[in-house]
Amino acid sequence: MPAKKAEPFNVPYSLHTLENGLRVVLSEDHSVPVVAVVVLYDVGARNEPPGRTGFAHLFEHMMFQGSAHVKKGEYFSFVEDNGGVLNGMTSNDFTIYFEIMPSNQLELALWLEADRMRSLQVNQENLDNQREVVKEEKRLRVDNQPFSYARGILLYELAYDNFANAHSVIGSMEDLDAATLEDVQRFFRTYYAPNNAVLAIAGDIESGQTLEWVRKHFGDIPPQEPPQPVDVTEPERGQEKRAQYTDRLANLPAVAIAWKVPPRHSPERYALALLDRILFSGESARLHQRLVKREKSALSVSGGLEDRRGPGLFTTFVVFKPDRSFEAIEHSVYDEIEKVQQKGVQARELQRAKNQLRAERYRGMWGPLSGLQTPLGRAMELAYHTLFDGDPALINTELQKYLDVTGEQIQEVARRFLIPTNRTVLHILPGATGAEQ
Amino acid sequence: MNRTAVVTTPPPPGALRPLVLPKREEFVTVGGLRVILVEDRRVPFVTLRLVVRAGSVHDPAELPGLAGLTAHCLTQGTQKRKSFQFARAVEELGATLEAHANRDYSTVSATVLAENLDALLRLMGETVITPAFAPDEVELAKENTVQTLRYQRTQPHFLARERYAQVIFGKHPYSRIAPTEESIAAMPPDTLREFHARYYTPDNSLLVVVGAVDAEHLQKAVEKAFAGWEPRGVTHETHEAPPSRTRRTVHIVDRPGSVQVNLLIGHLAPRPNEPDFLPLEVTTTALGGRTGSRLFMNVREQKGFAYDVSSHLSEHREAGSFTMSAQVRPEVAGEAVEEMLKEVELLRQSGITEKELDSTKNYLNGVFSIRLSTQGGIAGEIIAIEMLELPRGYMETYRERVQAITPEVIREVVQRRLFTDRMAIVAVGEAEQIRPLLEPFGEVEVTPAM
Repeated sequence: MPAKKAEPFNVPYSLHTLENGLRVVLSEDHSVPVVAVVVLYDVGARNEPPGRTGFAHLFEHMMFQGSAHVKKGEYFSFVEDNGGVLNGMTSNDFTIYFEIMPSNQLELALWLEADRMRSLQVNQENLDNQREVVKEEKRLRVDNQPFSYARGILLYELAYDNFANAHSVIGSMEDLDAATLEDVQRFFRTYYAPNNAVLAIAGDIESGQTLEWVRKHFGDIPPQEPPQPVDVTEPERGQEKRAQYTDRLANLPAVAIAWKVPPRHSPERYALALLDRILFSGESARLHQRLVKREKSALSVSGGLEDRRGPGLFTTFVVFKPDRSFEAIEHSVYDEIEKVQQKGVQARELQRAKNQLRAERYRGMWGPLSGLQTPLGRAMELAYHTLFDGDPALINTELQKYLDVTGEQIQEVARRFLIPTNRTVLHILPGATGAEQ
Repeated sequence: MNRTAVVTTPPPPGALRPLVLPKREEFVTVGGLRVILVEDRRVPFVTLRLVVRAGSVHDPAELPGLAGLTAHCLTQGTQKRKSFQFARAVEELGATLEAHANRDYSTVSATVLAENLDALLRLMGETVITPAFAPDEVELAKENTVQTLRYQRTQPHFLARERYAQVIFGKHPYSRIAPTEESIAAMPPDTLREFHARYYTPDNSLLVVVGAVDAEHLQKAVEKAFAGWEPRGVTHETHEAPPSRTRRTVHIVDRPGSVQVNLLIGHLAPRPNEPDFLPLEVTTTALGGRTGSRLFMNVREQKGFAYDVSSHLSEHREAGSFTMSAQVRPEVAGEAVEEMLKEVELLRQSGITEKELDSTKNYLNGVFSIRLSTQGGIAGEIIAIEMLELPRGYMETYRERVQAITPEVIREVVQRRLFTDRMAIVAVGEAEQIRPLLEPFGEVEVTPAM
């Protein structure tokens, strides 16, 4: 293709570690008077013991309920009244909080994050109230949406064997009911310590002044004993696992398939990420072409590499027409994978996948505020690389590892991981009133 | 360790840094296509939106969904390339290109690595000027649209939006948010071709480009990519105004098996180009447009009735609506509605406080700057100004106009524009369970979900 040369693009950054162990990453960009502050804690659903599922996420809600100098409700108003937006998110691997503020309000955001890291205050009333809110969140996101439980929770419970990986972030409502104030306090002490977190700040900042403020507000928060590392290793299973679930809200059948793949740091993951684009990304991708276009059997095909720190999954989710069979859909998916295993991929397909990956860096993959064009996108990427990989430089250097992947490596990972004995298959039957069976 | 005392009060802000509004350049091609460019060199990337005034409001009465199906099929192959070849050509550039219709217009959206912009523009021109609407592609799209429609009908928020639009907009075309199986069946490829020929013309379109390209380069590339696209003098029909409401009514969509009730409550409201819009936008934001809002603090944080509760003003060209929404557990559906109506009544009685007004202004102005930090956000603002017929300089003066709003203005606008005794209450859930809870609010009408 007669394209012009790719323009280089690098995110500038500096990394600092306070005496209490807090890692701080700064990145200046003065194009818009906006700053993003991200605090990433090394705790997620993976840290929950049996009987306390959903706790990390419930705790995330508690972080907005007040601290020594910020009363209940004030966290939202301090940020929004001054022109900012904020949120928090819990995953299996981490919990993240962010504020995007006008850049002249940076110190306010730092003070707010420091106050709750130092002195979260919770009471029984707030705990009970947020428990109800989380239950509504589950009803909204999971219990009242077709495919949500099967695809978002059950598939993982079946596909993983290690409890730390398998159980859902939203957790069980019985476990949430069992959570006590003491659990909240212990969780806070153990995981919400400066040495268990990364603070990333990107946007219209002056690094020297910013670092001064960071030291002023976070510098004297005492470190804690590092938490016990979680064992997230997955045993090899050696045989296929199959299950069936009737979704009473769905009026179409669907199949979900998951293969276990290696952890984040493995070199195989780069090849799997490119295979993901070749199979799933865009309308020219192989599975869309096969199932939606040629066989006209599926309404949608999605999936790909699920990027966890520990062992991940390579998934496929197909919603298909009621007059097609599970067997036919599965056959087509496996046949496309076998083609990669036997014949590899075309050079132009590989180049497409690499160009898509380069573009995704800028565009962002989870909404309008993600991607390296935004302060929040840069702060989050820097925080992830610092906490998960110990190296923020990867924000600039990791791309090359994707671009170096060869067709042979893709063929090799397809052969090693996308095999019958390594997969979990879930048939989802439509159970809604009026569904054609 | 560098010991310092704990700071017990919020640090004051520094001096406000100026927001340099993106510089907007404009030109018209030989064929009459208006192009607006905002050069943005922060990343080697370009975001493009070609907007065509052909939305669902342009659907013939018996063919709801025509604008949507036309937009969908537009990118499914050209007279030169089959759909696979076209998709591959786009995706090999690291680009995305897709088209969809909303109420007022259709948008062909694209993003691309800056180095491949010219090639992407050629593909955009090809698909906009010479789409194939091949019979097999249209057939497949129709079949999938029907399946998608059946799938949507299982989703409570879709059912709520559908009923709400019918109730609020009456005979106005905004009352239809989706096609029907019958209307889809009645759309052969020629119907799509005719719709395309009538509306997809340079004089009925606007191209917005934000990204790493200069005007000179862009103009050359656009002239080449859109050569031969002829203006046709498009006319737009006018529509009967939506009905004004005189009383409060309850509309239950019976959805057996629901574990939550989806609530939409509201009535008509000013359009974005009316003077009342901005003060009402401020009011709606204070009421339920942000996390610290009245509805959020009451219905979620105090009562724990809902995870998600909010209010918003729609932004459409021909008619607007004010809407509160929440998803609550069935037992508290009545109490939740009562609290939501009560919050509006409170606004009518006492308006909002000076402090609340100031903080809401700060919020709106802050979010405005945040929106302008992405290429897509800048493109979206420009499209809104052009499509909603907002005054020139809208972006430049937005923050000043927000700043100028006083509590008196708010009080007057609330009195003039919000009426709890005329609102439509739409609730999707188990009718048997929620009917008794909602009967106190007005005459109840129940319709089935399927």
